[in-house]
Amino acid sequence: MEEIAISILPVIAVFLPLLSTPLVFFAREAISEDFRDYFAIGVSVIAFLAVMAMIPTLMGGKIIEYLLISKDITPVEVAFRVDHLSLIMAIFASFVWMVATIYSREYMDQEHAKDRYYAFMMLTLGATLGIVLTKNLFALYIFFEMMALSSYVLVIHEETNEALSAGKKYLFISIGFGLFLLLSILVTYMIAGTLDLTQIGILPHEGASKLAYGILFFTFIAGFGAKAGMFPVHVWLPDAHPVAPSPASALLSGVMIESGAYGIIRVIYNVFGPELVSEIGVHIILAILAGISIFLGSAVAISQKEIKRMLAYSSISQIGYPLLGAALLTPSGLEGAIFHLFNHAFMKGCLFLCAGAIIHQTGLRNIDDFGELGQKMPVTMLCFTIAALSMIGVPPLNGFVSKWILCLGALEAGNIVLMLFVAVLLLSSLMNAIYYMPVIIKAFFGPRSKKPVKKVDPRPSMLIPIIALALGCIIFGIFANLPLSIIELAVHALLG
Amino acid sequence: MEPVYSIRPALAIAISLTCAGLIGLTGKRHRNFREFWTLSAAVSKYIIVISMFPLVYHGGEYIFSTFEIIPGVGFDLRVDAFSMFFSFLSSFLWIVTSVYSIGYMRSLHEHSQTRYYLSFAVCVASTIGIAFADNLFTLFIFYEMLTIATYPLIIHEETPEAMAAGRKYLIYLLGASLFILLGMVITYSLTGTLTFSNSGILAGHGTPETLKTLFVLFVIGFGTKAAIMPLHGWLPSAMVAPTPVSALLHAVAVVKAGVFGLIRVIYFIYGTDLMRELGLGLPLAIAASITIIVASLFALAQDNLKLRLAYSTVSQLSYIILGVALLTPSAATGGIIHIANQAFMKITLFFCAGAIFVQTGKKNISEMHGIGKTMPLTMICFAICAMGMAGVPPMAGFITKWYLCLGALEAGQPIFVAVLLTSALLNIAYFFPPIYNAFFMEPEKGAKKDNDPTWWLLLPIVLCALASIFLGLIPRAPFTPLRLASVVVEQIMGGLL
Repeated sequence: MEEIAISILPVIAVFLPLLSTPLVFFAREAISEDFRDYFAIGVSVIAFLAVMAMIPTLMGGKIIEYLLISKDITPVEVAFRVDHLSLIMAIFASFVWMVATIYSREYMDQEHAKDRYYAFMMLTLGATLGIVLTKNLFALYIFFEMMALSSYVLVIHEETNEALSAGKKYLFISIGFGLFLLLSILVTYMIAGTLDLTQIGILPHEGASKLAYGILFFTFIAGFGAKAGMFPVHVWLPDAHPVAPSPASALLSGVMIESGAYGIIRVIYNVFGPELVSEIGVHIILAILAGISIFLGSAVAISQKEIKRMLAYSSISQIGYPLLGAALLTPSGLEGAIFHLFNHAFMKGCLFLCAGAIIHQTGLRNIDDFGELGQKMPVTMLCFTIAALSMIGVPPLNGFVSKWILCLGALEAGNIVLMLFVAVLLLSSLMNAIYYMPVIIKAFFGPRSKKPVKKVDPRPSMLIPIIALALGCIIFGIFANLPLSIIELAVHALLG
Repeated sequence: MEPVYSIRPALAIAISLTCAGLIGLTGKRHRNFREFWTLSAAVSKYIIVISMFPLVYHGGEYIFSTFEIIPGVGFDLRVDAFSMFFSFLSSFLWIVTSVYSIGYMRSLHEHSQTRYYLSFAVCVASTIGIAFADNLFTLFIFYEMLTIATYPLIIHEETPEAMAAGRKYLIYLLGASLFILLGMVITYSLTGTLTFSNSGILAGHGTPETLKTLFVLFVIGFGTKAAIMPLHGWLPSAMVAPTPVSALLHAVAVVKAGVFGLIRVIYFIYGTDLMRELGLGLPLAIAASITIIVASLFALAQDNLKLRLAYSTVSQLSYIILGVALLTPSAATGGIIHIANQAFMKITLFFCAGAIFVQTGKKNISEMHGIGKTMPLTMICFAICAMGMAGVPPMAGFITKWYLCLGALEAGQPIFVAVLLTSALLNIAYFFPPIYNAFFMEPEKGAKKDNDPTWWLLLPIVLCALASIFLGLIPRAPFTPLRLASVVVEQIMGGLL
């Protein structure tokens, strides 16, 4: 029996950013522009610290819970519950958010509507942490919708025609598939009578026919998968992610799509339970869809010339890994899945911030123009290289470790179809190399000009966030057991 | 619990009527008189209604009876949980709308304000009368009174367009009331009574065919006010009325009176069991579903903001009807609670449309570029309530959607879940353009900055928008509409929830 600790920390992590939204919005008018920026940064730091403060309790084997709104006053209670899976998600989400907010101050200096930008950064942060820290699907849905709507404002920030049409697509797909999610939640509530994410499988085995459960599973997958950007509901992602300001792109690709993947993991393990899933056999289909995502994203990324668009397609491919891992239903598969979510946030966050730095300092977006960039922006490009190599899966970087564990998981599955996915993982690494290496080669080994070039690495307030994420890629590759010690407990809770 | 005899129900009605008289007598002398009478009557009526709240909330009833009109049918008033639900809502929103009216009518320097405030007071008196009616006959009297008192408000502008809309309105509604009258006569001849009962009065009377025909009569009669398609034609035309009228009457009082009457017929004349036995729920639910979808599509095609809101109202009213037609506890709760949720959200939207008109003179969505930047507070409230309409959490609309969908699943009719979810998407589709134009388009040159209206207009907007969030965040807190709706459902369906 798990031990429960009552703590208000998750409430702070979620509600401080949410409640700070109007304050941030009016801070410039009331006080000053600097105050607004530092206030937003301060809130994101406190949210991160609140999450970190939960680590000791959870490492002590306890689960944190906090009842916010009881069943008496809402149809289903709104409560927080931080188990090990929630914790690891919250750690990287709040960390990447914090560095992106710090980075924003310099990056956004020439931008318009910054009040709105910072306010919605905070709103989205609160909603995203809400998704991973809540106890039941009902509250999760509320935060999920909140995140979808508030991130819309980040996507269309530039208000160019391109951004607005991408935003429209994003909004309608989010809300449309959000309805699938609502439908699945309602059906689950009817069958199971509860929406708590506390047990392994709340749906009873005899609750409905296999076919009905299969349909329910895929309405869930459609609902969460659309946000995760998995095939075939990824169509909005390559338009929406690149048009946002770079720090927001980093969060969209590095954190928000992973909350969709988080939802899918919860559905497989907490709502259905691995036994029921393998009984219905839907995990094979999910694995195949994830496999297609991996290939498709990489294949299209190869043909992209615009750096941020390439990174967006790479996200479609990368989000396939954790989905595949979760669908394997093996301990190593799940462990790899969760670890890859963690790693991807660092890698993709770093890459988008680097791309942003390049755009901010030189205005270049096309990879073909990246010659000499290694000379001009050595530190930025070095960090880019580290994160890109990690993407490809070069040891000892963190991307390698999660891929390694995922491969082990595929072999563990013992099912010939699932074992084939080892090949998928290896092939995709090759494809990653095909589209990331040219950038690196062009930047460092392209034709050099004879004249000495001026160094244009950004100022420290932008550079330090990039370095922090790149260091993360190295540290969590070498000392992988730091996050893995939490992840193992999560896997243990979900798979026994 | 024994019913309590009290004069308070009659007093609540009388107070608005007296107010109407006082406005008529003194209103021409100075505008402050009519405004003072309106506000003080609104507040005192609200206090009277509230004073009955605690007992009713715990399942009690208030009764006030006068004389017998025909044997077995008296001009009687009774306050049960459902009456309380409707009267509480409309008397509260009357205060809010009165404040708004003062700001609106003053800013636009409208003519004939005495007539306006007078008719308004009569309308509210009739609404409360409908809520408190103990039997179908009493309800009918107030129902007719409401129809007639609304007419001067619709033709307020006295333009040819307004006169035509008024004519259309009278034809539709007086025509429909003939159906109610006929239905009432048949009901009386079958059962010898017209008094509402929690378990219905028609069970065991008449052949199924008669009862089914009778039901059609009632649905046509009350459905016209509730704007079920194809009986909705009067509502969009009636949007020529001043905005506070559209807000309170065409989003809350008049149309909800139709819905209220229909619910009285379904649950208190027929009763849940008889409805199930005769299978009358399903056809009504289908008609409501068609209205929900088709009206949303119509809304998409409107450029005039008020017209778009009007079609949205048509669509949302059918949410309520769909909920009660499904005949399950969750669905009925969802339907009844939507009476309140829709009221708060839609009244805000109308108020915003009015505020935009007052401040900029604009009526069409395509002209409203950048108003979110010049009227931020107004448009933020608009956006919140529009999202709420589409059922986005944590606004009130989501609670409705939750219960309705749950109810549809309970009834074993998942197809209606599909209807509701499609409609949610359509809601987004037609509310998105005004929000988008407001916040993400540049205001035209020369537009005034900081153009939010006076607090007379702004306060009601902000208050109702906050209420929409509050009702979505903690919908089941004690003394909220949802709790009261649960009491109603418990009374008509037996202890569930």
